[in-house]
Amino acid sequence: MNKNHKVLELSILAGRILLENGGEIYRVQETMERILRSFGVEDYNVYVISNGIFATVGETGDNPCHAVRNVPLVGDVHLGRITAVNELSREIAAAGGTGDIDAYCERMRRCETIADAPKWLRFAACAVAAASFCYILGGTVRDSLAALVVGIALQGLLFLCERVRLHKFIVRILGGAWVTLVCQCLITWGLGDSLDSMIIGSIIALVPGVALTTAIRDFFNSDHLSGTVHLVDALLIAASIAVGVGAMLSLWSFVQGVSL
Amino acid sequence: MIALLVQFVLAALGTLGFAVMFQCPPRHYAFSALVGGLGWTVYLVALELSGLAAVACFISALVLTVLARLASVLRKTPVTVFLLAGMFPLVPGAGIYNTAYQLFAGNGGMAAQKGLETLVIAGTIALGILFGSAVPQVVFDKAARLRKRLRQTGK
Repeated sequence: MNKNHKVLELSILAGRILLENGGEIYRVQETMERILRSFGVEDYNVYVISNGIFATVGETGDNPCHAVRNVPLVGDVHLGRITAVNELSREIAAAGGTGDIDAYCERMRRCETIADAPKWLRFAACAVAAASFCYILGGTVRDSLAALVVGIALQGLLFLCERVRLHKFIVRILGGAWVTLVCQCLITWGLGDSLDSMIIGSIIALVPGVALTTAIRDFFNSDHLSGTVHLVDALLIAASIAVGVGAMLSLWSFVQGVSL
Repeated sequence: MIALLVQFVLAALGTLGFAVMFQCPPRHYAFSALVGGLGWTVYLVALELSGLAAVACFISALVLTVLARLASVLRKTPVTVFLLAGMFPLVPGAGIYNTAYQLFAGNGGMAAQKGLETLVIAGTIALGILFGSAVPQVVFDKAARLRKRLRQTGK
């Protein structure tokens, strides 16, 4: 492999990790270009959209290289990996192309394997988030204590879905229905007062906050195509939650024999 | 005042929960929670003063974006780390729920109204982030330099 090829490989690896883990388009493109420039590559083109990367290096020289990567729109955010890639790319730029490219590639691959937070912590995080949001969005203390339980139940379902690799829209529909079911059961058993506040607080872990924020930032950076993709993603996620919650509300009232 | 403090603490806690769920590195937990808590506090104050949810959402999204960018410069980390989790208290989860509820209860008119409200909130958040992003980067770089100088003179 010649130098052009290796540098392109390193750059596209960094780009793919950023894109897969929730980096915005502008950041991905900038990082890739920074890596290429730091190794003295001037003759390059990088094009990034929300689910793909295209790059060429040395098109007019003796060793032209091209790369295309399909990066499926999964929507899992891993800020640890983004930070790690960002730090490594800054280090590469600071070294000004003097470092060993293979060693950098190896370290870049290690960024991708940064582990998730331990499971108990993620259970706790989801429970605390559900309880806090339940309270600040108008719930009582009793509601938010009940939401603590719902948060744990929801995270359990999310882990299960993660293991069987369900599609994210299905996860949102199931999640919405599951949260509603658990809330209804808790209310029936006398835990919590307001069904509305409990559900609103607990579904917060499902709502498309990331897709919405990313979409807006893509629009700001004039990446309209990617912004549109993320915006549609946000709308579909919101619709999925609504379907899950609504269906379970109807089902519950049907079983109970009362109208919604 | 105490009620506001409770709201701030809980919003910060909720944001911290999201920081953990998004696998944020533990060294950035504190700033992440702070940005989310402050964003929500600004929302509450703006809501109290203006009485309009849309205005409050716009102002708080703007302030939140600026805070996240400031944190990003101070901590030398991508803005995303602070912005994604911090934005969650503002995301109209209640709007989605109310729309679904009215839709399945057969109240098409109410559902349309709630849906529109949700879209308007999302739109004003978008405007807030846009204006927050439009503040020139130079301002934040200056803030970072100022902090550096303060530290040097402090030593």
